[in-house]
Amino acid sequence: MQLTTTEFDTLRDGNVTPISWAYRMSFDKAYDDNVSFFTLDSSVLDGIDVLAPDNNDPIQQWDKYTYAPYTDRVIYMEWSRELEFPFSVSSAMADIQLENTDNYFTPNSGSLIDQYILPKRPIRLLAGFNGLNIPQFVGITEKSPVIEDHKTATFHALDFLSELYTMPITETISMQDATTDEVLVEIFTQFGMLPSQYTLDTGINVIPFVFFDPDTNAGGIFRDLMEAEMGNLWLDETGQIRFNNRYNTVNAAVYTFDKTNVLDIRGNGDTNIINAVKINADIRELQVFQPVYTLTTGGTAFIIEPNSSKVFNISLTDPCTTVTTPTLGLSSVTSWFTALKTSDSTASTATITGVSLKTNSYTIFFSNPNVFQVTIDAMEVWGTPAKVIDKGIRYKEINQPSIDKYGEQVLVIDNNFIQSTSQCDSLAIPILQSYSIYAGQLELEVHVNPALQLNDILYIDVDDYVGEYRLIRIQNRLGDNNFTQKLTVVDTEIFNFFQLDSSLLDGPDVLGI
Amino acid sequence: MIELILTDSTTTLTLPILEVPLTEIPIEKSTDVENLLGDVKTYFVTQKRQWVHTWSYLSQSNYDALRAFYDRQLTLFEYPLLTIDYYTITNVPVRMTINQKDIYNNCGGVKDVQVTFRETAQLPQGS
Repeated sequence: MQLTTTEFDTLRDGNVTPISWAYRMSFDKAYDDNVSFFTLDSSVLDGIDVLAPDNNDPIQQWDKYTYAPYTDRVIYMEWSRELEFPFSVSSAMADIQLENTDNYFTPNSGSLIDQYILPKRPIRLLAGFNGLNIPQFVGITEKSPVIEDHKTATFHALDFLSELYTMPITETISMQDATTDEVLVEIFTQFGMLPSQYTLDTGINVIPFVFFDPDTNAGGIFRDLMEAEMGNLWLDETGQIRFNNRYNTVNAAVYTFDKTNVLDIRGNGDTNIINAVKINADIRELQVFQPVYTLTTGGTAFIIEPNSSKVFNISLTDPCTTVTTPTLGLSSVTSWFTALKTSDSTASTATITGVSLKTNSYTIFFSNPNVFQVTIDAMEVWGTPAKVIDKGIRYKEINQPSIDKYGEQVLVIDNNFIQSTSQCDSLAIPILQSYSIYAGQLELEVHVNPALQLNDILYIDVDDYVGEYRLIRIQNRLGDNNFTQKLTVVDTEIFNFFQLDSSLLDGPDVLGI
Repeated sequence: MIELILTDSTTTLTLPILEVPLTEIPIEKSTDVENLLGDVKTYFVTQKRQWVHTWSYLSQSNYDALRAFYDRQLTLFEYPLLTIDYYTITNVPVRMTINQKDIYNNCGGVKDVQVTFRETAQLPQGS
């Protein structure tokens, strides 16, 4: 839950609650050079300070756009975010309808912003009470606005993380024994983000080999990482990227709903029971230093023109963690190549000016300093490949009492980020612990609390619904002189998973790994 | 003397002495919601005012000047500003409406001229 002031809480809980909001857009996407870094305890919430410093990559610059206020034009604003089950790479969305009787948002109308009425315009949405607004949504519009009868303009927006999902990584990622958060940091760094822009749990899953080539879609990587972790990745209301690992321990409810602040409550029938977990994965293991590529005479031999250079690309059968740069002359222990004078096949020379290893591809930059053609007639490249060593993991763990009671409800995970049976145990046991028992979902309409965030634990005390529930969906609407909030929550048992050096043996913590 | 003054970017008009009644209607932009115990909570946005006034008779020139303010809000895309000093209403942007035109003499005089001024905000130009 976002931090709020006593004044905010008093207004929220009062009989008469003055609702307020703010809506801002950056049509020209100009940057505000006066924006400084956010400093805890000194910066003003909703002030111009940002949580991230400047650099040249526009994708992470949502805090630095110069936003113009359009609050007075708002007819309604709707925004929602949700966690999917049982892991989530989620995005938030918003719909905003603005007054447009002067055609300000109408394309080709001669409006002052005419040239900027385009898709992907940054927006910020805040809401609160009596001017005490707190962040609710940071994102970009998906398309140009829908203009209805020249009276209204409606924008649909997705959060900035959704934009990342569609982007390819720009450089090779090659890591060993990396936790989920470490891989995320590597990707975020490629997109120009700094640690101040994200808050990540330490991942439970440790991935022996991580290989991604450039142009791999980041969204696919995020999804696989979250599946192997059973974690959640999302952009919160303030624009911070957050990652929760599978344990995501929460000790206490942060807010209570009872008959005094609930307008409607009902079960939605979803239970999301999992009582069997199947995991399939190919296992790779790092091999000893060995030949990983051979160029054969007459086969893939190639010619370098006099006083010229040539780029030679090698496609490796398996990803390699290291490759040794070939040297001129035969060798039986390391990488080598041989060169011949093309015209008479006598021994000659060539030099290698650079190499580049990108997981499954290796690029060599050759140079021929001679005044005649040279043929690279043979070559052997040595390295340490990570090979699939057997048929892989075919793992299954069940909770028999739950199966007896509810029938088998299987979760199948096909994910090569899981590389050992112990990792399977570490993943499957908490899943069964959390989801093999009945956990009803409730939908509530409540007195609005804009500070609520996904994953908050709520204590609900309404008739037969009593206990802790996890918040998995928030839907807000501000319009028609009203502020509504609908929540979806799932019954949750609060327990801490056992952690070495901090949990007590025979204590209440659950052994998850 | 209680005067009603209208202003827009074109001109300012001071209309004849107000007649009674000058009706002020409070407009409450709010919603009451009811919890499971039946108690009410109010989500309140703002409170606005609306003034309704009827001149029994207006000369043609006064009517035309008044009517011009109504028309200009739809061509200038901005609301006129209402001032009635006596009631401490000063340059309040208002959405103006006017009733049917009933000419009662051959000089173009109009009777029972009812105007409604609904308090609002002037949208900032260029936002």
